[in-house]
Amino acid sequence: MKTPETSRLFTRWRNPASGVESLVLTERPAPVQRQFYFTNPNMTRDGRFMWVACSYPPQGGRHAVPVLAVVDFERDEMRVCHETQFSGESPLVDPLNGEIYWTNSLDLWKRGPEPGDRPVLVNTFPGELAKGRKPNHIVSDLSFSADRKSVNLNAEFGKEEWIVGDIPLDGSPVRVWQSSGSRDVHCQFSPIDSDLQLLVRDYWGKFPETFDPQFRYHRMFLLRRGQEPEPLLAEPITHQGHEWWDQDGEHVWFVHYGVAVKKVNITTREEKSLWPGHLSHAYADRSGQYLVADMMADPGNPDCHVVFRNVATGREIEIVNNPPLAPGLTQCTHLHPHPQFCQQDKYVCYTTTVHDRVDLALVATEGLMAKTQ
Amino acid sequence: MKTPETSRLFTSWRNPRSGVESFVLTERVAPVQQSFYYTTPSLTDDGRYLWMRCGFPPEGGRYATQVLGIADLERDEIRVYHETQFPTGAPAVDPESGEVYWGSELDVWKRGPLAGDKAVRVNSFPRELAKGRPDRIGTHLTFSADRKSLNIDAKFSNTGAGQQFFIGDMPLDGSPFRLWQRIDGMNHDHGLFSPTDPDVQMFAHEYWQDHIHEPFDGAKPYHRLWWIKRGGKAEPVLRNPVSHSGHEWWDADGKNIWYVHYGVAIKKVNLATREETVMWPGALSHGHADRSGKYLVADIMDDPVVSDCHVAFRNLETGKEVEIVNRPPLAKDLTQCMHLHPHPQFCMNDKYICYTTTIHDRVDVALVRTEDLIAKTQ
Repeated sequence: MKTPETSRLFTRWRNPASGVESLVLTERPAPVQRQFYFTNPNMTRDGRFMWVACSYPPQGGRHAVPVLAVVDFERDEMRVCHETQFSGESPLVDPLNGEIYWTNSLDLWKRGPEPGDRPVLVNTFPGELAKGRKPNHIVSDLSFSADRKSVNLNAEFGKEEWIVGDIPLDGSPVRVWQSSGSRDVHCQFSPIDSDLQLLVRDYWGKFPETFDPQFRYHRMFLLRRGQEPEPLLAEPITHQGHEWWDQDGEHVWFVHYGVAVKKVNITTREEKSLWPGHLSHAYADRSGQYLVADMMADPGNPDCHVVFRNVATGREIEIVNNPPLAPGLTQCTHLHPHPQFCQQDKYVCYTTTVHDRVDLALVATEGLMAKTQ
Repeated sequence: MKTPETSRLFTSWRNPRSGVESFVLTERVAPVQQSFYYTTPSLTDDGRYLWMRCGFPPEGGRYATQVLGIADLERDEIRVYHETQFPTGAPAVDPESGEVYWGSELDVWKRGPLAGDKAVRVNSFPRELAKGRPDRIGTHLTFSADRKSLNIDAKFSNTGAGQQFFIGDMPLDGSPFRLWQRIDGMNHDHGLFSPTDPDVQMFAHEYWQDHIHEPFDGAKPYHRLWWIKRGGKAEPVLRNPVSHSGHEWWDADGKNIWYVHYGVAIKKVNLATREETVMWPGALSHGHADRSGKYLVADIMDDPVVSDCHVAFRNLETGKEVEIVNRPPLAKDLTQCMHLHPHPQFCMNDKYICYTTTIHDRVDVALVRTEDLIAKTQ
């Protein structure tokens, strides 16, 4: 089986400032090929399949509903699955068998990674709750429950209603945990507790025109099945976001904008600052010893700037640092690098613009560790 | 050059009851291939290019943001262009050049029909007017009579302050959007440029959608049909409001508008006198007339949500009708699309009627020769 290092589908690109080598997916069936949102690993554990978000905006454009493609390292080929248009931020890959789950309108679908695999309708959000409304999405970022029997539900209808719950994978009825008029987005299942979700109340997104980032508010909540959401932090803080579960299920990481990447213990509510600075999205390996983050001066016109940090040594190294794409180039909305560890932390996967287009890239973690000893 | 009758891309299908022959586009580049909305002609005047809507829902599904495909009868091939998703503006085809225009977010794009043609951004709805992401900028784009503009009937519903509607036109030369009237709080759509006057458009008020949380039995009279002259204010087309109606289109003469008075008839109203004429009595859904106004085609459905594929042709001179197709709704688990209505329309200068058919248990584009239908209704 090929690897990103040996596959014909990838080309090496070396950062002249740091010497870090990335492997860019230069086989391109689509004009835009990007990484998933940072909370959703896109590679299988065995390294055979890597899923990619593809889109086809007109040349020079940026708007298109994306579809999914898979890189198959056994066959050394890339295949686009046009039937997989997805809404929300990100689909979900089963790291064991390579199946992918996505949502479209009220439906949750899945399909396998092989060429002959067919889509299967997994479940449907109930029409009586949709009430004839077209959802913005029924899940923003899909995540499995710890017992792997459900995915999270995080439906958004216009600017009026947000419904959180879970969608059983056996097709049994959707379970609503709560419904509110607050902008509850980016919900994620705990990796160890099937009755617990991290709920994000996107205060600034509901009032973007009047929002003051110095305002202190609770963005993160723990939502236990059958209970009311409770704030995660002991005290409200200034603007924050881009949170993710630690693999231990006992901590949640988040970016305190302009301050640091932090980790909070969900029992003691104790917070630790792990990476001070102006960071945007970040991600940790399973040990919590290594971090990767992107940074951008303007999220609406972002740089492609990704850095790796060895928490133990405090050393950092730059993976890529490219200014925003020129406005006339074909691109996509929400063009953030979204770096994440994948394939059991073997690689960091991110979206790169070093070739004046939107590409997916991988970088071997061990090389980054070596450079930050 | 091939024709639908001689092309390898099409297969003949004959209605066993009426003997009417349709030519179904059985060469398939997508699991769903659908004809355009009935107000948008899809075949060029020279008969070379037939544009269509292509959807790629998962097998057994129905939701997909569609893209455009084209049957090229010169090359006798069908191509799909994935860069042509049109979520905010259903396409318009230039019947002379074969270029297609579509809306995506705030932008209008166009591309030529050939494989090597590239998409070009034509113009954009002004960002300073846009309140968030648009529901649409054009329900279905139409050309102004002087071919210098496209109509715009933009709607923004996620404004946080109710829905906003803008009617105007977007010049094809890229010069700024011209706002004719802004109407807040009401759901308007289906704007269509007059075919003879670049300063006139009609549009519809979706009263039933504005009152979706109230019982609506279709009997309440209201003004759905409006028209506007550049520089003026919109006003109702009909002298008096009528019970539920819809699916209007311009007569080719630009002096009359046709509409379907649901459960009553297809009617034609004269814009100067406001006089209305019943042209085809019955419970019809969508209709369309040829340029002479002597021939009509319509689809018929008991339930617009799970619709039959039932299309009939009427010769107004003889009063005779003939059935083109009549099939019950597709089974629920078959791959299909939303808004699966036949939407028959005259095209290629009335030589054919184009419609969406389900006779092969899937969603296909079909053409039928008008001259055959005229012969059968003598």
